[in-house]
Amino acid sequence: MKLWQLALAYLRQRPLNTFLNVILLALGVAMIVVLLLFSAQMEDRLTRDSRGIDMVVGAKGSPLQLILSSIYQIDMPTGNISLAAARKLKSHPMIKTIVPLALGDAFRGFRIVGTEHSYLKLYDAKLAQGELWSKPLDAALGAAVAKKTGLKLGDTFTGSHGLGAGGGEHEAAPFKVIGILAETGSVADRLVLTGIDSVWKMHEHHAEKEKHEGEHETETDEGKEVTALLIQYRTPLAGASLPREINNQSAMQAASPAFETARLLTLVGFGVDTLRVFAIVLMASALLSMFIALTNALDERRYDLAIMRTLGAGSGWQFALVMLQGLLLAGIGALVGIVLGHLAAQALGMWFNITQQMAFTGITWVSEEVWLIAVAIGVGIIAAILPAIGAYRTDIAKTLAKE
Amino acid sequence: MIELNNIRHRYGDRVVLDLPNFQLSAGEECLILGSSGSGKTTLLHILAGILKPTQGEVRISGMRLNDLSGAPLDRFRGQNIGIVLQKLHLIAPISVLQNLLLTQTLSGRPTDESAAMKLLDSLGIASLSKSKPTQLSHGQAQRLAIARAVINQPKLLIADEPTSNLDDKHAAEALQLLRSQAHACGAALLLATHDARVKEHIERRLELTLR
Repeated sequence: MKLWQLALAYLRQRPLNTFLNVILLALGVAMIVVLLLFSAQMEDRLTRDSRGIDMVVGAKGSPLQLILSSIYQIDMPTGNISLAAARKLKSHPMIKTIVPLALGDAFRGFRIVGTEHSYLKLYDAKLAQGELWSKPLDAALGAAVAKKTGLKLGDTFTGSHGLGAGGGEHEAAPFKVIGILAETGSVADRLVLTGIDSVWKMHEHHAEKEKHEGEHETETDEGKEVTALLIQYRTPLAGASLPREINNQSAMQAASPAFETARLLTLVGFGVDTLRVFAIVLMASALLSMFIALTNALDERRYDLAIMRTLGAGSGWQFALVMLQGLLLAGIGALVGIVLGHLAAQALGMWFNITQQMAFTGITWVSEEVWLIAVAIGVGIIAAILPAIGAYRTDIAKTLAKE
Repeated sequence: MIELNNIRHRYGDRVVLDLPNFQLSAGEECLILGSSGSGKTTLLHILAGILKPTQGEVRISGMRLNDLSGAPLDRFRGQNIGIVLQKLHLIAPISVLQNLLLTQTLSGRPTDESAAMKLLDSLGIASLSKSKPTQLSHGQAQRLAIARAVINQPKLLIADEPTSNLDDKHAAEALQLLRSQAHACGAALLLATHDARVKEHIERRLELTLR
């Protein structure tokens, strides 16, 4: 008969108590797992989408909004800037590449982004089928867009005005799918990409029919506008002077993705920290509950322990027996918690997916989970150590004489 | 075989046991008699190596218990001394058979399931091997306690009030089982009792007096 079998038998003797201890610890662990997965994936996503972009130039307004709208495609743009002003930057000696973006329309909730082929290079996006746009109203679909909408090469669709669903349709200017991109795991998956002139062309019709304000107020040849410019520096030194230069001297603003992303993470981090504290409180209650359960069990089973001593068990064996119960509780709690956490993350991910905000999955690991298991085991050790020492010190003669 | 020399035990200033000399050889049976408070339990604990006497010497099959302590003492006890206490205290969460296997493990020997089953069979409770101790009747539980005491083939079998709380039939049965099992493994048998029913069967006795 093995020690762990006996320890397990004792735990099974009090199923409700054991369940309570396991579930308390598991909930704390699961919560931290979800937070870890969420933070890691969000950080990963934020850095991946902004990788290679040193600066974003757009209309004046909130820099965070500019970054969110032009890189992550989740907020409304701050406005438009004139094409002429944008062209001027092109010859700036400190700038290596400029990728212009024209936003304003969407197709079934996926944004239509007017840009140049160089946009694809930012995300290492490759064509899976077809080819890239060469004339107005040609469109290449991101992998997720193609999957969700079911559009195939040669299909046509019409964009709707505005970035949400339900705006007026641009029926006069239907797009034609001429390319579908391979999955990149980045924001490009969720976009309909087309040439900038497509966006202009789409709104020419509008401009003729009605005069409306905002992002798309266009367009004589000289009055052409873009929404934002994604810029790569030629030299890191540019970061010191170029943003200030742009902010001071033009109607445009420059925003740093690294800085704004860090700011965003701090904002989100506050919420994450709050939840983390809650998870730690849960784990602390698990520790306390486990300690109380093991101490009570020790009082009830002191006679059992004394009997085992008379049968030849050394006092080290009894120490190990109680310790093992704590470790089993902690180990099971940690495992259940990790499984629970991944399931919860996956469920959240599916829900996020429906709202199309962000891809989030529970089927992935982060290295911190190993630490989490170690912490949970530590909780088991701390909860069990005093009762185990109590078991170790059991005086057989006194215990047996008492009854 | 079993030898006590000048045993004296005190709790504080109070002498609870004073026993100049006592010997018991293998296979021999002896009763320990005395009213409650006369030191019966103390003597049993000293014999079992659970309690160290304030003074005096205990030898069991040549081994001086006074020289042992800690794990080696526990191991020696597990391998050489079988104990049936008044309250049986079987290990509740594990099965009848596992109680015996655990006893084998605790004595530091490998488990031998067929030997355990054979012993259960000889005590007539083999069919209950998978039951939990809480599902046993008192008589069945007593048999398991006896089985647990003899599974490791001890040199000395000690029983503390084994027949109290039992009706005549079960008392006779318990006594008979203890004697036959002790005989089967060649162990010396020591019974602490004040039960008149037991006195008829065993001649040799050690009287402890209340002090």
